[in-house]
Amino acid sequence: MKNQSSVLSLEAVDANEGMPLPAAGRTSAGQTHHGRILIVEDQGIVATDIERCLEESGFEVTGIATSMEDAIREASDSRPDLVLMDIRIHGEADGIDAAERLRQDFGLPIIYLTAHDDRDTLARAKRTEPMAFLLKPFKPAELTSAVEIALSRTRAEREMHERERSFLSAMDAIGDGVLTTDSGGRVRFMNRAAEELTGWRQHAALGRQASDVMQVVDEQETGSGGFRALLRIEGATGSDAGHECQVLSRDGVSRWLAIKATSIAGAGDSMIRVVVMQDITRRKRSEQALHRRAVLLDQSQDAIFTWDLGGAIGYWNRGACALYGFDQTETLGHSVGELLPSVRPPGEEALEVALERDGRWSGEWTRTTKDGREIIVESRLVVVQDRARRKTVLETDRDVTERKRTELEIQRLNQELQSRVTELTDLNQDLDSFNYSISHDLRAPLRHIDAYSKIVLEKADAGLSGESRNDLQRVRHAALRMGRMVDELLELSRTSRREPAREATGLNSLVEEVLLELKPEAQDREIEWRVGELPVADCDPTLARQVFANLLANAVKFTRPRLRAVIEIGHEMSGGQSVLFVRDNGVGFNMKYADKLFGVFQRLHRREDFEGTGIGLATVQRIIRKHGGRIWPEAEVEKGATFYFTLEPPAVTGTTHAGPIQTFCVREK
Amino acid sequence: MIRDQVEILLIEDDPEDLDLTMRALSEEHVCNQIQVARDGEEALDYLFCRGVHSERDPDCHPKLILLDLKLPKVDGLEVLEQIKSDPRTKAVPVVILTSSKQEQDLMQGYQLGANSYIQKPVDFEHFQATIKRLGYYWLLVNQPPPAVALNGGIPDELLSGK
Repeated sequence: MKNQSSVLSLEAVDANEGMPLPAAGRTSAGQTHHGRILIVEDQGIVATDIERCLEESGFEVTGIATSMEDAIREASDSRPDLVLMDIRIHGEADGIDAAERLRQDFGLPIIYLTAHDDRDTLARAKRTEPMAFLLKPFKPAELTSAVEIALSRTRAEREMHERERSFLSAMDAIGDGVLTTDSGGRVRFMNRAAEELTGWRQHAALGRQASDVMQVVDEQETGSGGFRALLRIEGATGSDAGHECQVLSRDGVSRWLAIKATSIAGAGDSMIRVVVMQDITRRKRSEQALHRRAVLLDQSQDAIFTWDLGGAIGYWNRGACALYGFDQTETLGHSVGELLPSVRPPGEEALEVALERDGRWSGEWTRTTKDGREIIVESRLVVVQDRARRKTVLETDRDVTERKRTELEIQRLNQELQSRVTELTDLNQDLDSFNYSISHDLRAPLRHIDAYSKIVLEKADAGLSGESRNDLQRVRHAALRMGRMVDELLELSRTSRREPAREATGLNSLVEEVLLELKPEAQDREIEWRVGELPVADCDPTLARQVFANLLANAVKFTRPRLRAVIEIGHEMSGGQSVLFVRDNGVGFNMKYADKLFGVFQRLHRREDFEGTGIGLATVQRIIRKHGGRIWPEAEVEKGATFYFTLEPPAVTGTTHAGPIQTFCVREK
Repeated sequence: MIRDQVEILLIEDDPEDLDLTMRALSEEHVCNQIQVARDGEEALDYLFCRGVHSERDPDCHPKLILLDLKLPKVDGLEVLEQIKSDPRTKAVPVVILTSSKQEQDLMQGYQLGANSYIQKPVDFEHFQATIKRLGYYWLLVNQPPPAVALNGGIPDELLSGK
């Protein structure tokens, strides 16, 4: 054994004799060797032979160790690229033990140099994953080629390892989660982001089903078959935006992820599914908030929509659909100007100018809806700026067409009313001059007729027949009667024009005064006056007095045929209202003519029976109406008449009063 | 200068009214001297001695003026206003004698200083009686203002009772 080795060594030495020693890493025979080698060999000569042989081939020998301890020290000091290890070395530990240590501690590749070939030793050595076995004795060429192969393999492995490390750190550096599975859907790899998003450590997840690692609790249905389909090797790659799922992590955090997947070829025929996941929870939340807001906005009756400064509509609520007739698909992205032709009142400043200056605008405009209707909307525009400083106009419109129409109608009615008022004013002025003229001019001829009839009667006293005298008397009567009519007509007109000046008026004393005035007419008559307790009324005393004067004079007049006249003036409550009445037992009248009673010049009796102008009751009714009251008769032919009246507007009905409503202002005197 | 003894200046445009008033006045012998003016202008000419009356004695004034309201040319109320706003004539009693008793006429008449307001009754007997009492009262019962007042010699303050 020793001999063999020696021979080989010698050969090697011989072969390199007289050659200059190339420096490590230097070029020799046109080849570059980047190899720094540690030799562990307890036989000095063999070691030296090998050293020489390697150096001649351009390798650098960093040291020669004879025991495991030596080897470890040398390796630690000089960091060789490769160790040539004799299995038999000094010390208790053999070469295999040393190799194991060097491999573990320094990651050094090993080439065994051995003369032994017993199976157990070789099996032990094999477990240390050596680069090669060189059986002693060996030729220098065998040695150098084995070393070269080992070194290049080591380099390649190191580079691969390096690449893998940089790949992994790159993977860990990216924000998106990356997870790969084999064709069976089992997790093969997860980067750090994927670990964070799923809550699974890679080592724990390895070999598990990806669908267990990523527990989907909600997903937005996109029609792509969902999350599980995305995990399958033959599955689609997902939409550009990614399939959106809510994933519950192992540590109980729920996140929205946008997931994309793709299949790539693995080793051999195998396929690898690469799943990329992006955390979109924040976006999703703001979307949901927006959605909630949009739902709220949809509740509004108003049309609410947005458009950018180019006019493109970005939001369109349900109210807008209802108001304008366009649905969202017809509006989103379309130009607001083209969709909704608008007419603004002339003379207003340009909308753009107002928006630019104030950031808002409000006003009214006429818009045309989808079905061609013209509507008037009250519009508010606000310029909203988002984080990216993009400007959007938020428009809120309300349909005021109906209100506008009503306003216009009211305006028109008011104008009409105004012109009516003007007309009435003119008419009143006409009536004034008419009255004035009647008052002055119409009475004069009557006076003259009467006067000259009287003069004729006196002057031609004897020369006139009884009949002629009678006729002249009739002329005089007619003139006087017309004079009275003119006076009463003027009185009626005056009454109609007068607004009641209300004050608390004791009706009993008012009636007393009227009765005094009636005394001459009641002379020689038997009249029983029954005057009840009358209230204090809130009325115009002058006008109220005219009412009583007329009604009582009528009562006296129409009871004339009665031997004993009974005239009652009273007060009663009816339907919560204070009602006054004047009742007589006179000739009465047929109720079917009752509606004629209050007309001007309307008479129900012959003049020769009862004198009168037919103006009195018309005046009475006017006065009562002026007070907001009403008057109504109750009569029967030959059985008397009663006139009921109120001097106040009717009480408000619908309230439940226990007692009568005090329509009259009753005051204790 | 002619010193007339005019007792009543009757301002009346209506010939019948004029006739009837004259009849009533003469019948009762309440006055002898009546000067008639047929419109407002003529009345003012007489009172202020203008036009055809320029020769009249300006110091001589009627004891009573009977004034109709509806007059041609110068309206009765305007005549009244001029009478009552001129110191020479404001002391002369003016009785409005007219057909109407329109509120506005009554109001303005009194506001302008009328001493009395009488509506001519349609009934001639009433008319006669009224005229008779009127003449009797103003010409016989009533004490006329002193001559110095009629010449405008009394200060306004005294006349208004202050």
